Amino acid sequence: MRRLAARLPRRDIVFVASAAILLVVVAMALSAPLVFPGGPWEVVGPPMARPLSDGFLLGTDTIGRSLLSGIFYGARVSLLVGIVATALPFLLGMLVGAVAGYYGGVVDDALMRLTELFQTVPHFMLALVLVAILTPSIGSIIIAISVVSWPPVARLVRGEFLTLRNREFVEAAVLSGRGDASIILREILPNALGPIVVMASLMVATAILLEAAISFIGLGDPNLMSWGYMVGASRTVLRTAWWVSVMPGLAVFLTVLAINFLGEALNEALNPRSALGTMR
Amino acid sequence: MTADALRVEGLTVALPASGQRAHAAEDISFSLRRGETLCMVGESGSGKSVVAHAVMGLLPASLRLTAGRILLEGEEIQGLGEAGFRRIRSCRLSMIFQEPMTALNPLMRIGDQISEVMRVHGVGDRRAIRDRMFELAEQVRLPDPATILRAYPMQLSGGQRQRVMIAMALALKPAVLIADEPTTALDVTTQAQILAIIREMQETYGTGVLFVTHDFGVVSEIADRVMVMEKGKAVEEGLAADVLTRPVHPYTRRLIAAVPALAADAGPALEEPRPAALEVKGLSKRFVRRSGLFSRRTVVEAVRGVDLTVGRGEIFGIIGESGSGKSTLGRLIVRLARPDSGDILVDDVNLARLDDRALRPLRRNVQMIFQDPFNPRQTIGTILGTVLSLGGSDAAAARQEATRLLDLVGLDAGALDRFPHEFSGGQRQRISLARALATEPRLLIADEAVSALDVVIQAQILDLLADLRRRLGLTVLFITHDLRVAGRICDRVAVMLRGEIVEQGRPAEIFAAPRHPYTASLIASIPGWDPERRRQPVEQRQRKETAR
Repeated sequence: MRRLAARLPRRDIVFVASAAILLVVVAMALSAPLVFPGGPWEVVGPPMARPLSDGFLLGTDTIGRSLLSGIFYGARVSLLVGIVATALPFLLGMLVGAVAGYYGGVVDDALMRLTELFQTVPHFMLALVLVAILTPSIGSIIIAISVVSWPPVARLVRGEFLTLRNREFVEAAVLSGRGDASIILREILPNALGPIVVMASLMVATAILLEAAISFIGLGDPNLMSWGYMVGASRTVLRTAWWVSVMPGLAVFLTVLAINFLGEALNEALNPRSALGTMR
Repeated sequence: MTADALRVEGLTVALPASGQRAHAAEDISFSLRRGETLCMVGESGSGKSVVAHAVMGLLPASLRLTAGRILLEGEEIQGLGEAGFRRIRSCRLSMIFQEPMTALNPLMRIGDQISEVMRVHGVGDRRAIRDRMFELAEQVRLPDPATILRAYPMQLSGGQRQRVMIAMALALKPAVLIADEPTTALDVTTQAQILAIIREMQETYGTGVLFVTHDFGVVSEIADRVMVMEKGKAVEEGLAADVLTRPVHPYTRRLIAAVPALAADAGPALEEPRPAALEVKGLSKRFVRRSGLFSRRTVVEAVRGVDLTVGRGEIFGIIGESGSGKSTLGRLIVRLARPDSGDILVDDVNLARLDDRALRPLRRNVQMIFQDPFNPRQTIGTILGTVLSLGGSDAAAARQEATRLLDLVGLDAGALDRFPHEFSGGQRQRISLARALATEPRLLIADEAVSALDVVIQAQILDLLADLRRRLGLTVLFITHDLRVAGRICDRVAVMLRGEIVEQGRPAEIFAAPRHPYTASLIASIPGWDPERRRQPVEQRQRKETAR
């Protein structure tokens, strides 16, 4: 872990800025109830107040709710979805990929056909249908995002397992009479983790984006303020009060961009071969 | 012939500051006449390849030529830039590599690759190129040139690819050919053919050959002169006959002594009959390969009805070239692969008939010595500890036992807390042996366990194995392609050809009087084995030519 930290580009301006943005988002999510005890739905001023007017840093929305408060509370939803809707498909994909790659043969064929079935359906459509069927709530949004995002993880893990399966240290472990679970968890998985972790970091960004899109369309959780909902609710007034939709949109944009850059940096750090200059 | 084809003076190549020593090659000087072969011999890491690459102008960016002159036919070339080297490569200075598959473009037909060399260097006439290609194909004895020139590299065998490389290298009749371990990846019979072709081509074109190798058998067959390298320095140089028969430097003596001779190190004959530790009866395995949706299935019969019996405490050798099925046989016996038919009896338990679950508790009885069985993320202590704790030892007892095992293979307990990559090849092979012994197996399978090691280390590991066999009463199935290694350590050997055992017996008897023609050809192909193929001094050869 310390070696990994040393390899991160700590002097790179993009990396530092991305880390700072992510820290701010986390801080907003954690401090939202303290800073805005009234909650995001509370009407606190005139509708569509301009940014920096009447003591509103980002202005107010169409019915006079503070945009800043909405963004603080929206960060909670985005991060919750980003983390949980990555962890679930991550675990599911890892399980499917590990079993398929380790056992091979018929098991592999069956699991991979199933995976491909999910991959061939357009992701966003499937997610929307699932949310609609399960009735819109934060839980159903997480389930929907998980269902559409596990297949790439499964395929990646399977690929890693297929190559590692034939390495001598795995065969040696088989010969020493160890059980499959022990070999998968202690021998193969630690060696397969690098690319999987990188993929997971990028999946967080995708999950946040998907949640925003679902809420934008109006299928978000009605009880939770979300960035996507804020953009969607105010799109009709885009020409008269641009800030109402641009501010939360900017929040989504910056958060997703920051996570992507961090994922990239993590990839470089975990995979020294991808870095130019250290070759040969 | 006034100027030397190649002359190197005081060549010094610096290693990066973090390296183990300051110089990859230090103050190397030699000269090479036309038609002469200079063999550069040394263990891995001795700097021999660095010298070869420096002469070609192919040093990696991390290595720097700090001093010395390289003269090609009297002209200095060490200062040439990339463009300058591009002009002389192939045309006056050529190189062939150890692994021809990586040296050939996998997406280009063989003929296009050979003709490209000529076109790049200004041979424009298509008819002339075509004629020259067929001439070359014949000279390197490629069967059916018309077909091979239209084939892609992956469709050829390793030996054919190396022939193509030689044809490419000599297409423009360069003054100097650098051969960097060109036969190391090949089977002995193929190696013998390639060496013969290099010799013939050299005589036809009068090329000076700088031949890099670690194998003294090859040296005795091809070298006019020999230069021995150790740790970046040339420790001995001289005529091949002198160096081979009267080595002066202790390092050279050690290298030559470590080359296993094909004399079966018979030892006292084992008192027969011994109880059988392993009995294999009618073992068969076939692989069905389908390359595409519509392509025909190809069936490879890797192992065909093999019968053998290994007595307790015996070291039994399986000899064969690549593709002979010897490795598959080993994997079937440890049950990393499932046999199609036949029986594998280890202490009267038939392993061939058990499913994975029933097999698991019995796996500890049969172990394999791998070349590199280490999880790169675990310390040696963890690796050995995992195996030992499975046998019921608690953490403290496991550590004690691991220390004892390391001691057995000649390593101290300090190794326990280190990672696999911190050890040398020989040390890793020792640890691999310790790991295999950790389950107290009744039978050990060693598949090419020493093939990747330098001769000196190889001899040490073989001695260790023989010693452990005596002390622990091990039974070993020793799989190798190297007859000399097998002769040195095995009590009995079996020769495999296309999945079948064609001959078995005591090594001394088989080597002295092989009954199967394939065994005879294997023995004849051992480099340096046939005194008639030994190299005559270059003066004699030239005198013969002028007399003609």
